[in-house]
Amino acid sequence: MSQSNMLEGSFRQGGHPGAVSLSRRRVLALCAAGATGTLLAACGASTSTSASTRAAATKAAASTASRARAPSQATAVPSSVFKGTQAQKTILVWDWAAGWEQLLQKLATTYVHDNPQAALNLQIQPGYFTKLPVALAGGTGPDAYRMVGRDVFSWDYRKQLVDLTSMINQNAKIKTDYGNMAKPSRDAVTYHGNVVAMPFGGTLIMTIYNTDLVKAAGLTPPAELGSKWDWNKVVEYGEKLTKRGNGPHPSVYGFWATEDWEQGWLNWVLANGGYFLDPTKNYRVCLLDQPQAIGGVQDMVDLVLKYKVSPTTQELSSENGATLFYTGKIAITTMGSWGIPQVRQAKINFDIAMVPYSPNTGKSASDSNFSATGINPASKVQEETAKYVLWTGTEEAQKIIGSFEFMPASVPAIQQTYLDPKFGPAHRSILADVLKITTPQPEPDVVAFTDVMDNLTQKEIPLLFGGHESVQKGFGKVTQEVNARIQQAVKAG
Amino acid sequence: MAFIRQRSLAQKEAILGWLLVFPWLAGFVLLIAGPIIASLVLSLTAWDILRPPKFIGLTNFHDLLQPGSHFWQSIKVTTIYAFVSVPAHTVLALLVAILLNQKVKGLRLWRTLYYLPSVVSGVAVAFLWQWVYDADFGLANWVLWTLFHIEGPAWLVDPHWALPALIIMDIWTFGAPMVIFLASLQGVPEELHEAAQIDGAGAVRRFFSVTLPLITPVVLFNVTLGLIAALQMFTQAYIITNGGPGNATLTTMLYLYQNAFQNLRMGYASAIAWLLFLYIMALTLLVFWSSRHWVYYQSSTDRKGEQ
Repeated sequence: MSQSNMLEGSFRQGGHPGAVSLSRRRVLALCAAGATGTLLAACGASTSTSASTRAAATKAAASTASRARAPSQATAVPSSVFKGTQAQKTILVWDWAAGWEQLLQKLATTYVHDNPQAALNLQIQPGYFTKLPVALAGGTGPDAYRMVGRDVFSWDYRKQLVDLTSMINQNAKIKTDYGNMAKPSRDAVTYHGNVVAMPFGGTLIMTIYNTDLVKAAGLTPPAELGSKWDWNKVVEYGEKLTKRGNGPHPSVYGFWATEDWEQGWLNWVLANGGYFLDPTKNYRVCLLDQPQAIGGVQDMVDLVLKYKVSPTTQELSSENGATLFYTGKIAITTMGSWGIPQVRQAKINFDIAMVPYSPNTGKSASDSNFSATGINPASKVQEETAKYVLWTGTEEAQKIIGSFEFMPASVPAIQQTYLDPKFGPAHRSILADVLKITTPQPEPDVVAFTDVMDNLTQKEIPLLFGGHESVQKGFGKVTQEVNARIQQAVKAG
Repeated sequence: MAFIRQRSLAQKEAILGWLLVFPWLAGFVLLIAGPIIASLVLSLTAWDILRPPKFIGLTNFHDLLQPGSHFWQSIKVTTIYAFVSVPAHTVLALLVAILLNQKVKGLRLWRTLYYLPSVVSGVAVAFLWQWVYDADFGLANWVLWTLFHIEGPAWLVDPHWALPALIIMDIWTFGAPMVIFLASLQGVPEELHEAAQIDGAGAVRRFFSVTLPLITPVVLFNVTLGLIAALQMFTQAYIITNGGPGNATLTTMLYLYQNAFQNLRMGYASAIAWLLFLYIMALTLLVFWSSRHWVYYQSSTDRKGEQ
């Protein structure tokens, strides 16, 4: 209701009622025609900068920033060109992680230094995940681009990635370095037996806790409990650490059962022997209606609704759970490994442990997102691009990645750089154990991951954690919807 | 110029008219009509942007119209939103316009203040209301507790309150229809009021028998545009709730956006666009059809008098 054309038109109409014979009808007819045009434009593939588009752009930028998982949210860099002394063809590289700008620039400078004939145009794109497919479809896409692990299969299914298998096999050093990469990172880029992108680095999920609060309560630190750090222990610790006063909410929560799939409930499901999509069926069957999945999420929901040791959805709408943890109002939670530098900046004493073990299976779990760099099949400088992309998988490049506290894919690089005790905390080496049990995030091919997770599944989660719907009913509904969506996509080809 | 000089006045006017509308016409054909036709064709395809579209006939429409689909949920949400917000918006705008049409001190200031929310960007409004609706520290719940001792709901995370929250937010930005009403109120002939007053009509009677009938064309205008805008609601749902919790605020435009730009289902999204268009068109025509029963055109009465 704030369009200027509406205002102008109505002044003309409303300002002189009855002044001109039939003018109102004409004006209304014109307004209706104009509105219809506007409507059609909005409904069709409009190119206008509507409020919707601006809103989308704003949120896309925010989304990109959040995906960066960076210690500091730096401003996006439009473009940085790195040229070797004998630079010839420039390759265009896109990334979304503005917060890792220095790491990306270090990689670029090292590469052009070692390859004087190379030139890289590194662009960190705001709104990356919306812009990239549009740019590729329009023929203006980059030569190389990084993507999150869960999107790799769907991108290769849509023939947007160059097969790297033979290139890796032809080069003994690359082959060795690739072979030294963590298995989940290789699994994440191997689609129907072909390596379709070069693993870059990844994330792990762990328990993170405020050591001062745990110590003050006289509890054994979770990192020292080994497999005894299980769901029952979480309830016990949660009750002992939650400080209930006279206010409407506890002043400190013992545990934060995060509703986020990546850092939260998917790990409970995994530990309980379930998963989101069935990897043995090409991630084309949803498993959330299975008892393992329902049981895992039910345990988390109980922490909120039954034991009341975790903040409610309502409370979390007021203040982000991570902020509550940084300020000592949450004692223990699960978090992605990217959170370590952020917690360190918060200047609280903390340590890490495995994700709580399921007492049903005796197992811990961690989903992992190994991002990877792919090559655009439409690139006109494919040879030069391949050279760069393969280089990012070398141990040398991987060590650069690890030295910035971004977990590389290469196991030797992880051990020599990322697990360096200088980064802290005390039990940092536990991340090596997490790496051994981690599972790549589900990678559906016929549908986009966000389609089935963010738009179908994750929307249901607040209803479960808010007690508006039972886990069984909610996951039953989600399973039907996800399976129907996948079948629709399979049918459409 | 000689060519124009030889023409009759009517022809000259016609040429001038076409010249004047040409920029708009060119823009419409190239930038709007083209995408409209393209979206119609695309609605019959499966297209993920990255691969060529594949013709699938009416499958997208068939899938969308399946009972229990998210499309129906989005239509339900959109309809409730429009059917509650548009009348509320219109009535409130009219009431405030009437107040601002009185001779009170600081009139310009009041008019500016009431219009201000309408000049704020939709995104900023969304963020502002996000704070207002904060369950623990928000203004809304503070007011409810302080004035009425009512414990406010978790507005944006409770599936029962999320949509009403967005509706209230929309009603707040009533500046544009208010200004339109104000202009129309100022155009109501004073002599009609005087005549009614002489006949003994009080203020309320004069409003319902003189003012309201004369401004019904403007009511129609505001309702029509308000309805079209409400049925295309996107920004608030996208910024604040992203369609959740559950799908309690999944508007059709948001569903369209998610399918087009997040799920890369352009054919499906185009089909949603066309169904939404047909729905808006049907409701708009219904409003126009009903207008013959409640909209009063002074000019048509004048014409009848001439016959």
